[in-house]
Amino acid sequence: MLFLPGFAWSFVFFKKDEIDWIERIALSFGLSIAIVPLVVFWLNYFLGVKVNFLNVSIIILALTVTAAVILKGKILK
Amino acid sequence: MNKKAYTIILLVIGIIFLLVYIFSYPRTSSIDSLLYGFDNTNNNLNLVHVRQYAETGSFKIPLPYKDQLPRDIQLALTPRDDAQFDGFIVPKFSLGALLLWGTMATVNEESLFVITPLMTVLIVFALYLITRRVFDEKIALITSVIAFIFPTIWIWGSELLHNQFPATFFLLLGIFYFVRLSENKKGKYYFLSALFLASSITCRYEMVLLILPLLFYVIFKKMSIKESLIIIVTLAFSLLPILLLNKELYGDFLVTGYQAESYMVAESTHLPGISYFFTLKPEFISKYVFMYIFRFVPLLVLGAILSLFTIYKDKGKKKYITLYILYVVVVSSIYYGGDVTDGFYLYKVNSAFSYHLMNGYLLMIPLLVVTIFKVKELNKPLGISLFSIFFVITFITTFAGIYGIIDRNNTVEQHYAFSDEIIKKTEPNSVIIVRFSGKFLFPHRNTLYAPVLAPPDPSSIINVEEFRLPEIEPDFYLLGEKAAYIANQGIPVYVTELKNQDDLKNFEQALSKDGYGVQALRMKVDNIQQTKVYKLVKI
Repeated sequence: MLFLPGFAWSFVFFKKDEIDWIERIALSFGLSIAIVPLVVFWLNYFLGVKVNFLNVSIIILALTVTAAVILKGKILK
Repeated sequence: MNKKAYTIILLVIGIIFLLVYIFSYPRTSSIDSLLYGFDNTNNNLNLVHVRQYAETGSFKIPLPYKDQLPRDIQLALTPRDDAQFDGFIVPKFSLGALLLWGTMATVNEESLFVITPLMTVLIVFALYLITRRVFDEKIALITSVIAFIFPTIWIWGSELLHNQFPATFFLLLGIFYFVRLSENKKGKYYFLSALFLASSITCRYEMVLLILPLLFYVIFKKMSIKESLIIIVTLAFSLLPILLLNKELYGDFLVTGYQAESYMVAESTHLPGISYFFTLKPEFISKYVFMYIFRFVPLLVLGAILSLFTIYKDKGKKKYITLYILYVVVVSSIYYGGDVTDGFYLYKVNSAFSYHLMNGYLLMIPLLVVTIFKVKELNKPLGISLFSIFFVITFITTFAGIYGIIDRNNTVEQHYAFSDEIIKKTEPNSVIIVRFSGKFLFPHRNTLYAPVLAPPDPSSIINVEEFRLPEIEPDFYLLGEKAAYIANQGIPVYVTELKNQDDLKNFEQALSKDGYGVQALRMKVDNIQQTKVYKLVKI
């Protein structure tokens, strides 16, 4: 939860060699801890998705996969 | 050294310090036992509400004995630094960090053990990124090493759940992407800086004051519709949850936990309540600045001021960031200095006042390093001596200062021993009347906060407009009357932290009217009056 989704999204914002590892690490943690709780909150608020282990895990996975799909799309372009 | 070498060195130092921070705090094997070992109120109450969120999806904790006790007693059933609304105990502090920790606890509660040490390392990484961007790699690396051992960072950063740390991490990362934005106006920089700066505000609301200059810069710069939309949507995505949570927890979008606590105290005590709004008190501000800037970090301040002479000629970002750092220090001093009371005369490293200024301290470190580099250029031995002096002072303060790591860890162990004994010797449904220890006895036991339960007559308080709750003396005769009323409902009642024998006499005198007396519990830790625990018994 703390790293993986942000790590995937960091590649959406910056290509592999565009930033160094310190920035990649700080950005990955920053994006994860900023975005995951907010997405969990909004889904709970609008769609009534319960805050539990399974749902939060699915949200983390979905965020990571979404970033990967966007990245793949960018590469194919 | 090339850029990559600096990155590797910083990564290695970061991993080492992550372990150092984790093992600097007396962590035990289970998070449950930590719950009553904390030495500051934020940690404990944060964890209680975080657990509630992980279990129920809400931060609200149902009030015990809701229908059994009258309203004035119910209001006192709130631990210090929590609030109460609509029959629930609710958090007082900023909600953004609680949302983060609550989501983490949903996945794995044990991860809370390492979150603040991890944040601390990330804060230093973010500081490195800013310093490298504004100055150079060498200055950035030395800044990072000093930041890692800086007393406020190490002492507070080795604890568990402290909202200052995510707030500062987001602030610094936001500033970093803001610097990038000022160089290159790309949509991603608008998004990243808005996201991180807004997240910083959700973790500590007063961060909005530190972000104001950046906000003005954005407002007065020409932006396209697309850029404006990115900022507005990002801010709404990040900030609206807090307003919605305010509505759920405190009944209004714009009422925060601080105000909710103030209303609760005012209703219970009939005193005007605690003002959490900024009031300018020049006398306090000057004492605060003297105590926690000039006395706490004299070399840091001197270095930051002298750096102005080396940077003033620069027309670019160095000058702007230096001015911004001074703005952060001045605004933090005025804001927190205006809010303090006489309590801050006791100078100690782990005082809340030291972390209030954490952003300022951290941002001043690169300025100090710039100054020392300049001195080193002019006189090498003098520059190296200055570095060594600062390094040694910092290290000694962290460890052996008043309430440094050694002192702090002893205090934690004493609290643990005290609360562990009380919990073993009292019934789970009992209520314990306390003055300060509610913060580590709750939620294991129901705690009644003595100053709220039995407030003094308002006419007996000299400066009623400026009173602070922990500082007021409860009326011990009234406390006895209320304690007897609770005991009459069949609830086991205990009292602790009576200051002296006179307080006990007044308390007993009131109890005797209802046929009650007190019996001291045999405690291992009861060498002073404040740690004695008495049980109410029928005579």
